Amino acid sequence: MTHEHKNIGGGAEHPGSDEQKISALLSGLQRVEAPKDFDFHLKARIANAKPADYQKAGMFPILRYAMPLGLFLAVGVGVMVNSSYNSWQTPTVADGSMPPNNGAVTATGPAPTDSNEIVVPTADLTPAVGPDGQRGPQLAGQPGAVQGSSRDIVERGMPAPIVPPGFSADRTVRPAPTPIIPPEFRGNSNSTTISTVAPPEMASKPVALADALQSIGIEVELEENKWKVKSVKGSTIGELLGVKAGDRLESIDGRAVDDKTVYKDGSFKVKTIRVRRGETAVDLQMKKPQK
Amino acid sequence: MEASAAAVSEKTQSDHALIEATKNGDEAAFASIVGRYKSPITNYLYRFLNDYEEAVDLAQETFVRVYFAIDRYHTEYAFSTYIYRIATNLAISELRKRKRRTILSLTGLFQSEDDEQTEFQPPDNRSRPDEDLVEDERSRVIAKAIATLPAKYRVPIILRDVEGKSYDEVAEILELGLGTTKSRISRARGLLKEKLKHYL
Repeated sequence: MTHEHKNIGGGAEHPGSDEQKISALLSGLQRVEAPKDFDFHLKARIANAKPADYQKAGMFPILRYAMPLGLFLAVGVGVMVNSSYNSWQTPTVADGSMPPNNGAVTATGPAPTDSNEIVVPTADLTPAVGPDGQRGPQLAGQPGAVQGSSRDIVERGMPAPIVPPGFSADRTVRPAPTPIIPPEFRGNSNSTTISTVAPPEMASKPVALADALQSIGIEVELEENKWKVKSVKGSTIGELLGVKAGDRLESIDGRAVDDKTVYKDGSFKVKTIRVRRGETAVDLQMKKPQK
Repeated sequence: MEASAAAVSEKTQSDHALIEATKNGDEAAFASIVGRYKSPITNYLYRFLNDYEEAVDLAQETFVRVYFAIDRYHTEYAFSTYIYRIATNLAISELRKRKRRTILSLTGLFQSEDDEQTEFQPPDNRSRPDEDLVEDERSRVIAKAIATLPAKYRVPIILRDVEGKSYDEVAEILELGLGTTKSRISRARGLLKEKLKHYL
């Protein structure tokens, strides 16, 4: 018997200790035997088995590690390529001067007059004639020409983004709209009340119930002066509430709703919705998302 | 201590001799190996899975794998280590399959109006061959307690306390360090202590 070290990793087996008692309990379990026909069935199994299935087992451990590793490497390389591509797209220079050319495609043509302008010659773009005769880039297959200018401000090294018809050629970059995040998704609220805020231009105007519900992903239609849910968009508050297509709205936060319901000042709050599903009235409440 | 070491050594040599003979096509040698290990392996798997039928099935699968991989077996470690390792891997795979079967079972069919999912567990009314095994209530409670342990604690404690393997042997079977092995066994005992405190 090999000498066993004591107290390594907490494996003390002092006589009378609970650990030793547990050990004794387990070792006292009755042992089971293999059945009498074990050998017979084993022989049959071996005779019917395909050796190739078991010989492949040697390769499997390698595959088991190689495939996830390969996948991990592929994802990692993809992320790196994507991030370097994105940083290539948005060069930033603190002092406002032209960003250095890091081997990107250099635009040839007239030199920029402004240090922040990068000019791409129109010869590089698919020529198209706009309504006013000016030339500019054009989407392939688009009937109308798109207004563009050789002085379109584009990022160095990148071809001029093609502006679809109907959009202004003004390339002023506007910041992305700030998403409206309900309080409980901001991570510091204990409330399950959902509050959706109407867009700024509607803040002072009353908001119809249908529009308010649409803002949380619930499409409704009037049926016999009652609101019936037409559809619920996925990954919206409406879905999280548990509203389903076919539900008939009865009340919101205890307030009965009908075709005349409006929300003043552009605010809409919902904590519970009562719907009628078939013959049954169901109270729906927002469930706090799992962290 | 020296006598038991000698006995272990003799058995190990004997196992290796049988393995060598099997490699040379001696079927009787393989049958001797089976005879030597079929009950210990069945017992080990039974205590792990708490299902006799499954234990027998996996024990046979263990020997099938030993048979077809006999040429790849090297005598650098004891045959018992080798065969218990195969059995352990099969048992753990079976445990994972059981978990997947539970998750993919009839859960989706049972939903309340609030979309809360209710897990459905159909009762297993099959007759069990091991019902012939007369176990008292205590043994059943112990077996049930062992079955609640996670695999990483269940395996070492069964090898150590049920099969009587030494810490070194358990560490070798599981390819773990000695410290880790002892730690897991100790932790397993700690978990069982709570469930078996009435018998202590």
